[in-house]
Amino acid sequence: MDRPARIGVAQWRPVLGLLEPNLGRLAVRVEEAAADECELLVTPELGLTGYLLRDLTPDLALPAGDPTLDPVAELSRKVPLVAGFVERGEDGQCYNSAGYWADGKLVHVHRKIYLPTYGLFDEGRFFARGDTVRTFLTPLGRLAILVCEDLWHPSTALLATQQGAVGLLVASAAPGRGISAGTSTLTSRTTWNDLVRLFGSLLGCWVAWANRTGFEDGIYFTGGSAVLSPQGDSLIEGDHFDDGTWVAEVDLSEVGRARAGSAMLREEDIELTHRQLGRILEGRLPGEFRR
Amino acid sequence: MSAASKSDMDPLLRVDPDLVLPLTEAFVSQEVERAGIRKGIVGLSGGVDSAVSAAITVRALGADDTVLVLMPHDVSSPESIEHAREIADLLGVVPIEVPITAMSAGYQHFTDLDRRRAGNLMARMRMAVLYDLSAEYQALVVGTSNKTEILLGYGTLHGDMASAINPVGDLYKTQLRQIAAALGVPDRVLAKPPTADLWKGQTDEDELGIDYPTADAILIRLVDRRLPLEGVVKEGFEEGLVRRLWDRVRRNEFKRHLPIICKLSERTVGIDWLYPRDWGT
Repeated sequence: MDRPARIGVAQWRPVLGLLEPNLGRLAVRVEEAAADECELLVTPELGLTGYLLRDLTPDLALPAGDPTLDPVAELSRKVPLVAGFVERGEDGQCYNSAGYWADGKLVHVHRKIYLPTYGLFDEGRFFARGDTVRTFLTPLGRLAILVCEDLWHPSTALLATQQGAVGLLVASAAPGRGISAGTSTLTSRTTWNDLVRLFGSLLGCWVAWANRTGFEDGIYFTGGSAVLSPQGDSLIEGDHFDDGTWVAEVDLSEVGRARAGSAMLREEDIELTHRQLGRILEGRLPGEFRR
Repeated sequence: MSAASKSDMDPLLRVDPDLVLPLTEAFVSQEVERAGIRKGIVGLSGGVDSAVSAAITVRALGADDTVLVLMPHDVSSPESIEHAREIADLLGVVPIEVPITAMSAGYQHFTDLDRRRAGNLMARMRMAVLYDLSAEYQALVVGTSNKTEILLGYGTLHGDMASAINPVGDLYKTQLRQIAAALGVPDRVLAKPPTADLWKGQTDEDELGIDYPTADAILIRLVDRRLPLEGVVKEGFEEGLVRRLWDRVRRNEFKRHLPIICKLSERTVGIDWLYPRDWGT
């Protein structure tokens, strides 16, 4: 994959609990991305519904192939895209999902695995958790979607890259918090900036991170969506309050160079990890070296 | 007191106004827009908290869409009224003045009230005026209670604690003062002892029995840093003070909740009716 690709991220303030106006917001961003010759647009977690849904969650849940989402499929004819919605699984459960649509078709759905249920978060009360990280083939190479908290768990990015991912598409609704000790950046934001840069550069992946804007019930979502090179360089960053679309040129051949210069991914011993995790799961003490 | 004193601000309590102001401004403008209106209304006391709330509202909505209300009582200090007028002037807003002396006197038992009951009544009169004017001007009531007051319950339930949105409620008093300084709140307002001004000579710190920098240094450790009481004491704060403060936080939990409802049905408001307030907007 030796060519420059135009990869975009979009962010907006969703209307909380209504699908229709948010489909409109997605359409606006896709038009902008198309005008900017974007080849892939990543949009935020639950961008089609809003985040703080709580008891509204089941009312908004749709099977991934539901005709209500046909406008999303249509938009993907202009620009292949990732969009977040509440998925009604075949098992009747609600999932915090993000789909990848291209050329009018749904290609892949990632169900958020790590549902934060602590502090200001309560996702585990309303959503069922996904149980796999998968990759899918696109014209930009093999990619994986992660939703928000998924990225805070190092295993997800590792699982994605071990299955061949060269790019991580991260959809999030990251609440801002942490102002003490005179910090000039919210502490939660600093952690996010570190996460996208660190995982991308350690694993030699480019990262397209779409993070929503706006407030819900007093909670501020930090926006600042970004595209990063496989070396961890920020190629473009969105506004921290306003909605918008930002497209960056990513040199896809940079993946090879990043992985040649920093061979963590090649040298990662997943058999060792698998073996040792197996022992831990069997209840043997961690740090026990007997084979 | 090794960790904090009046003259030496605890580093944990430092805030960057350039971080806080854009965020609180966006909060006010978006929440007012969500309510389907354009204006905000703030009661100005002449103190620091309401000056900051008013300034944030003006920055968010503009002076033309900010209603500022002075509600003096005969017992209010003349200095408070003068400072409130000065702040309104600085913000480019002509304030509305609604004295509450006659309203309060109209309550038949008023003359029999001790100063605590009279003070609470006055705070609720001001709330009634603000909410009435909010309907007249189609303006959302913007609150002025800071995090220290909210945690310590140092405010009147359904009085000064009542508002539709509060941009300053997650800032300790010591943090709010830094924001006030950055906003250009005059030094004489910043320098005077904080007071609810409900009776002559009243000051917050006398009533609470602790100065704000110390109270805030203890609270930020207990609340934000989740330190146990013993951990705060280990940092050099007096044990009796820490325990008394935490007990006050516990005793005032009721002021931070809507009335609790006796659960009878399958879904009860306030218990398992879990809808976001911003639903549908």
